[in-house]
Amino acid sequence: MSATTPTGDPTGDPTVTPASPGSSAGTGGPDGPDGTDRTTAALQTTLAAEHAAVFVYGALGGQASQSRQPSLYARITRGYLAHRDRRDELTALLTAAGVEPAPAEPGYALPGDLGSARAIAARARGLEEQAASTYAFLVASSTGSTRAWAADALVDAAVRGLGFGGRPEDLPGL
Amino acid sequence: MTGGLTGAAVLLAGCAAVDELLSDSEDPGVSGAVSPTAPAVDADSGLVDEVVAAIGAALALASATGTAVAALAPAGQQLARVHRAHLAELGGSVPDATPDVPASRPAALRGLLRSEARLQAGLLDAAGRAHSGALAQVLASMAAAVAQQRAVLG
Repeated sequence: MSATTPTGDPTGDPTVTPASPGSSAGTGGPDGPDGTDRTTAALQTTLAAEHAAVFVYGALGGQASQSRQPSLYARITRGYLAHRDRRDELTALLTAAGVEPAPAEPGYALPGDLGSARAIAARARGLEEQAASTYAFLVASSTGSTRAWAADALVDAAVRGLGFGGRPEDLPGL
Repeated sequence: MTGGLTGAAVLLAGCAAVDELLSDSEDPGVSGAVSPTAPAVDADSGLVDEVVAAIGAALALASATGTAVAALAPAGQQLARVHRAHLAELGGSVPDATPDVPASRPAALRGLLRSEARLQAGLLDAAGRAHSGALAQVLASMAAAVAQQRAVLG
């Protein structure tokens, strides 16, 4: 086990970078006087990743054919909805803590070749691997209900990635 | 499960996750896994013992199932491999126990799936209780690995 940080943004877009620590909101965490700075920063990082994931999943859904690739299309749709929910939950967590949630970028880079089911699935698999890494980071950076939520999200991402051709790992997200 | 006189401190000395925690303990960077104000490693020693015991029990059942029911040998062996990797990560040892396994494939599979579900829940619970963020991260990842194996098993 070596990696403990998100290994990159899900899009390859250099504009998606870990957010700076925000205000000291009451989100709880293992660092600082009340652990809030680290947790808030990790929540912002995770939110930035989810903004990108929602965007990219939307683009993947536009590339997959509902009639010719119904199974892939359904999996892409489920992934999109899952990440949209996670994004909204992160936004709510930060807002409830009195922190301005990181906004989405105007756009995110997409790979040029999404013309095949294999390419679309590979992109989705990459998104889930990145999501698992990001949520592992949030687990390490939080406590209590936020950590529990992040751990569930890590599990979800790890399992969802299998549906796009991912292989089981000994330590997903790390 | 290691434990007894050797104690959790010895167990933790071989723990890769804890080694990482200690080696990076001055780094307050973006990893989030390590904090200069992190509690002492001993704060999690009992928790690690508990997790090692749970993984050991799951490993014993997976191995026994793979041996007792030929149709489940690949699944049992794969699960056992993952559990061994997790035990190694935590510095635990492979247990000697050989639990009873039903002879019928459906019953054995049900038992195996129950065991893995229980382990996944236990790992998530332990991740929530860990004082160390680095340990929590490893335990949550182990839970995700078990979830992936359960998904493959169906």
